[in-house]
Amino acid sequence: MNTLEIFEQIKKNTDAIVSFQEEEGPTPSIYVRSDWVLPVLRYLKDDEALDFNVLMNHTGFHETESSKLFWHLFFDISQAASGTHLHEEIRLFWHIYSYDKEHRVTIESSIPLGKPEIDSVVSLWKSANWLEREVYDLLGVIYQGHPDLRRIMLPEDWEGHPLRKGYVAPDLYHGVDNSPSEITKSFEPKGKSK
Amino acid sequence: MTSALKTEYLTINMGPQHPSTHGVIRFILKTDGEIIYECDPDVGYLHRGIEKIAESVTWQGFVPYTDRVDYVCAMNANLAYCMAVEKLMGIETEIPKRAEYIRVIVCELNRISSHAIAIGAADLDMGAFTPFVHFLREREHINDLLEIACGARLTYNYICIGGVNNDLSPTFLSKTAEFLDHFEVVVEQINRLISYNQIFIKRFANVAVVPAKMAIDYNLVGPNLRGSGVKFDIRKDKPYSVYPELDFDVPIGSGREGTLGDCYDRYMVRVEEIRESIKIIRQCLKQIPDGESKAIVKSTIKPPKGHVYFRTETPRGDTGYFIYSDGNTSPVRLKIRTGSFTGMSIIPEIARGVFIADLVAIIGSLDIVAPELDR
Repeated sequence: MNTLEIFEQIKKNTDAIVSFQEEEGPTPSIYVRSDWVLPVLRYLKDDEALDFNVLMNHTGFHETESSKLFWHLFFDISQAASGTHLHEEIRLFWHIYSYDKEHRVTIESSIPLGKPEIDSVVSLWKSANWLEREVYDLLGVIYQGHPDLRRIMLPEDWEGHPLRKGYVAPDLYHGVDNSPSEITKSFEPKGKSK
Repeated sequence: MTSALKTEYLTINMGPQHPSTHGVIRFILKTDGEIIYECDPDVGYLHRGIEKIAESVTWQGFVPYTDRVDYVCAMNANLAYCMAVEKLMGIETEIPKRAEYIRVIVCELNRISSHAIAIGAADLDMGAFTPFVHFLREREHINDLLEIACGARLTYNYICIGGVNNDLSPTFLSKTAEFLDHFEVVVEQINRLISYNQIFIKRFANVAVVPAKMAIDYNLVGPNLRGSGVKFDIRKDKPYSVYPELDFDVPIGSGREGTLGDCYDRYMVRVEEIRESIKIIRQCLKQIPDGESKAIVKSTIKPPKGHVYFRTETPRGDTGYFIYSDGNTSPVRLKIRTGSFTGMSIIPEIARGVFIADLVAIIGSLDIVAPELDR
């Protein structure tokens, strides 16, 4: 089944708020509103005709105001955001595949940066455990219902989430000086300051 | 003596500097005597932030970094990244035929050397030193061949966006054919030395059985998945490059010395994949056409806005590159999903109830490479 047929199936059999994305790049995807992600993924896994038995990849990135997307025209997803980060959001992707039916699909969603919370899918696929820990570590997404949400790549006492845009690495960590040397600074383009 | 002996769990530390972990990985083990009760892998000691670096370098400038993601099979890592970018740019059909064949030849050579290290290191961990040295000697020949092709012995930076950096010489092709004739015999010799050795089989068979359902649930890929009896190879099932034109088999585990999905099955899948790779390279040497080795690609690449998730089969299995581009000179986000990462995540489950010494066998049979795991 291709992505469009899978989209029609979701539309027909669930009440989820979804939209079909094909303008972006070579692979079309299905956009699901963040509170519907777990029910939609559970449907995709449990339905016999779809049978998505493997979560290949889960990742996300920090989207800033400059690269605002067209689905804001359809859904007002920023209204749940609190405080100042009104249009900054984290976009999440789930790439799932079926070994038996040999089809794949990309599910995507977005959550506001001010309140980065989403349901965990560890109950569906065990491989989600470490993948979600990685996204939590590097992007700061809180997974509700994750059994063991702690940092995986960085030390436990690290502050901040490096893959967010505008992240600045600490100058000092446990007495190790990490500030740029005079030589490094001399290579920085003039007139461009952080 | 009526009261029972007092027993308690003992928490011990293994690693990060441990000879059997092939890099820096740490395990926190809770043991009941000599049996592992709980195993908690602590990874991240080799996290270099390669995904963050990708956000500040150009598209071509990231290729040398992919070498460092997995230095045991750098050529395959180059290919995985370059094909993902080509797919994003929509030029995957413009790559010259000769370039595709060259890519397959060098990648399969690199697969042989990677599997040789995996097999040799697994033997080494089990106490058999000799096969490891034999395999290192054979790997030198492959390093020499790839040095003829691109000048580097380990981190190649050979495959580029649009093709390969320079054409192969006739010397390379004839020397590769010679090497294959020589190596095919050596594989069988080393098999007689170790793979069919009863002591080795007793050590590996029936250890850490991974049923097919569990392997899929944890998203094991490549030889680890096929060791559990799932016949899935991206080169065969979702073919890319010129693999549809080549004839080869996909070896799977059969439980020949014990249970389906044990350490020995995963090990033997790698041995048989070496033979299949030899078969693939022989066909490529026969079929390789003349022509260009690189498509014309602009020096400043700006792929259109969008995202792609492209999978290729590297020695450690299905390696996926997720790239999001906003139409600029560097990616917004690049994520590398590697086989070692998911291979590592299954260890807490399969290591429960085995001997501490068997944990070493598990790491060896899953072929975990620490830099690929941590990126």
